Amino acid sequence: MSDELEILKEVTDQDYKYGFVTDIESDVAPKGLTEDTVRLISKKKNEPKWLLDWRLKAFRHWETLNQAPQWAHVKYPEINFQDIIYYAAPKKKPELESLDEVDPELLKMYDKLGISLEEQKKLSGVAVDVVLDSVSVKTTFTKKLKELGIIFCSFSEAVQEYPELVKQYLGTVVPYTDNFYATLNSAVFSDGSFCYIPKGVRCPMELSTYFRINEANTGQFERTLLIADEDAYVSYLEGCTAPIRDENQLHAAVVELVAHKGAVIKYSTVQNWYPGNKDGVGGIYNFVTKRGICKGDHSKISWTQVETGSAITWKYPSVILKGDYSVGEFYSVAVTNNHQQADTGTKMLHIGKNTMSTIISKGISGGFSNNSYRGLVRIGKNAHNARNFSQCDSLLLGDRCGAHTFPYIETSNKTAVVEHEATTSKVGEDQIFYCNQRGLDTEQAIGMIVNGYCKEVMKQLPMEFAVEAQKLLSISLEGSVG
Amino acid sequence: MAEHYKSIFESAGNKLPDNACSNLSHTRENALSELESIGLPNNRMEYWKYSRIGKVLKGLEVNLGLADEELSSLPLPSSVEYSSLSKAIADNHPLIEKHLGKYAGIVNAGLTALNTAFFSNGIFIHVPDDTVVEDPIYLPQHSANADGGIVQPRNLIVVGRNSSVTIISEGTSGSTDAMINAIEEIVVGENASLSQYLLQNDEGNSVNGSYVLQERDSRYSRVTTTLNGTFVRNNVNVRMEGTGCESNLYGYYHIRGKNQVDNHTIIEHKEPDCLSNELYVGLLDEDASGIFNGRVMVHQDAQRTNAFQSNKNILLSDNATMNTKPELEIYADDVKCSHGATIGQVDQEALFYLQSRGIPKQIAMSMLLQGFSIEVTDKIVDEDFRGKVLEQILDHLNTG
Repeated sequence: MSDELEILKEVTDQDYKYGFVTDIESDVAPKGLTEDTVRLISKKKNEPKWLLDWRLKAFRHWETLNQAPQWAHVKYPEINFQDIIYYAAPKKKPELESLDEVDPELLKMYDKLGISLEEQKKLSGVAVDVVLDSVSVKTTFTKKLKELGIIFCSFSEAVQEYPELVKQYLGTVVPYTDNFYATLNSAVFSDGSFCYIPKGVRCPMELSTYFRINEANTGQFERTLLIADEDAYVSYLEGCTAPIRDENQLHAAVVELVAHKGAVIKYSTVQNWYPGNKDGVGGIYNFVTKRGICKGDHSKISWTQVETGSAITWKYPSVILKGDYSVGEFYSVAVTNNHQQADTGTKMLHIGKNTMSTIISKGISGGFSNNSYRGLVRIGKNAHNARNFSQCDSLLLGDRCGAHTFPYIETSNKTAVVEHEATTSKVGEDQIFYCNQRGLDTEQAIGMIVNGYCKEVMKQLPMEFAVEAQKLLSISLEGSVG
Repeated sequence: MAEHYKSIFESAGNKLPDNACSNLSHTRENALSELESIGLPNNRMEYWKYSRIGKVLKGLEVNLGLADEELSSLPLPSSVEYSSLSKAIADNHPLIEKHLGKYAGIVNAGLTALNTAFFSNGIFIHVPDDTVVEDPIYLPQHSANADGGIVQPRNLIVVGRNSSVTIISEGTSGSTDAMINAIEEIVVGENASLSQYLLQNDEGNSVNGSYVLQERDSRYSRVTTTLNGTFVRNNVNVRMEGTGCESNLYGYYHIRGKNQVDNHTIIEHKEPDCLSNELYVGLLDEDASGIFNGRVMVHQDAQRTNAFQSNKNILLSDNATMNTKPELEIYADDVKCSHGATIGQVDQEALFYLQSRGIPKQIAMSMLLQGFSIEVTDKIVDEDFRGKVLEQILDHLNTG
């Protein structure tokens, strides 16, 4: 026991490895949110009128919503939305030809994060769209993708160069009236990624973007729009780390996916934002709306997420299964430690015939944390032969943490087959003893057991991420057993 | 609305049986202010989301009168105290002061408070310590009197230490322009055992709230069968306040027409080494809608808890709906908890198997569906009553 306590102390005392602040001059809007802020953001980005109008509509709707949603199983002090800076961009730099011209400060930062652009470029064949704060700084591999007709660029670039595509799809999956944070995002979103895979094209590389929250007191409002046209295939990776801040930072992103007939979208996330210190001070508030629509027949959207960071995670990547024979998948590992809170899950909305969804969720809680799965499976009246399988397991690593499951199942079609199962347990002493007996120390044993427990989800991740995710998992877990 | 109830309360105050115990009037006043702050349930409340309670309550007034309960004529051991609640209150029975109004929480939204503020009568049962009651006690049926409105029957059942008893109730019948808002508070004493069997096979609207408090090493088992009812909401709340408790909740429902059956259970594990087990299975036909919400809470000190929960449904028609939500809320680490929910159909291969052996399709279907219910009805230990329930289930299947 004392050994375990020692390990626990060691790990919880550990400082957040990725906490540092990069010193780059920023173009910062004044604190607070008014119509002028929205106009300023739109003007700074030189946006067309329709987009400004859309933002304003969202803003006006947001003003009518008097409070942030309260239903999630999380606790936090009320957010003062007038105390947030809604726009911060690194100062405009002249167009860069090569990596050498990128701000060395930036490059250093990526090195610290272990995502050096050069390495990425050379070794992994991953095109990285680096989003620092709110504006894309460097986009690589765009050219190569362009040859295939794939558009992969920052959101603001897409607004300038492909306005008709953006206009056609923006807000079609997550309308600006969707929920409090999605509305806020629609009004003030600063930048994000845009991706379009044309008909019949299989994207040859994993598309990837790294988000970082850098500017102090800056809420980050990313907006990602990903469209896979008929029979296209794309695998998209998203990963995050953020520096230490004592004040809580709000992150309210929106991700929209559209899969046309026969298209496949695989969206993977590793989230490792600053979770706050061991007393629960600081950390990111991560209130994200992610939703995809399987618009055409035989389309497929698969969400995979590994959530280890953030003080509060509030996130439900969902799939609207509209096309016949469409498939939705959700694979999730959520780890909470210390005072972290996670309320995460998915929604599978079956509308088309012969639609199928799978939900695998693995929650791991330690310390004083609370980890909830909240999900909805809805079989619509005309969704004949819909099929769902859900499995939500929770693992408890301490006697002061909580693991909760709130699955909603709504069925209005008699041909539906829906199964939900959930278990909650702790790592068995006999399992640990068995490993100890074979010469593994307790920490290694737990690492092994937990990795085995999450294997089902981990194997869904692309190679590049699987390694990082496994590392993250062991870091987050070390010694959390008491 | 608050003012409205207050005025009813003031005008009715002296008619309600609470003169004997000063505490009770206090409890009623508290309930009234609780009702003011929570309000009656509506669809915007999470635990009433799918329910048609709003429609049912519309235009219904509080009904203050309740006919004297017709007491069971079955022979009872003389040791068992069995009377109407109003008599127990008038007699200033010590258990009334100790238990009445102490366990009914606010889970029913304002309905529990409404009952506490306005209840006029019901049943009081006290099984003293060390008493084994061999024959089951039949509870009379609550019924809405001719005035309609929301009727508030109230039962208090106290099972003493080391005692054992079976209590059976059949139906809470109302009419469509009335609603029964029944509350029962149950205390299962140390090492005592209570089995409760309910058969709901009447028309009308009812919300039945049961609040069970289990003391150390007690056993509570409940089997609810619902075959009819325009709107039936069963709230079962079990609180385990001692170690070594065991709690089993079972339910079977088969409804048709536009009926709605809504089973909500909350099991609270507050102490270590308890076991809870829940199984609800049901069939939904025609335009019926079913709701299941099972919530298991394991508090921080409730180590070595075992909690299992399962809800299985078969939809028999294109217009039937089922909304189910098995919830787990766990704050202790040394636990084994699981829950599951399924919605599916009759196994076509099993049906074919029976047909291939010469059994007509309709009978084969009825056999398979009956098999579905047996998992639950088998838990009824009392043979006579089990026979009766099975017979009605079968009748109900065959009249479909």
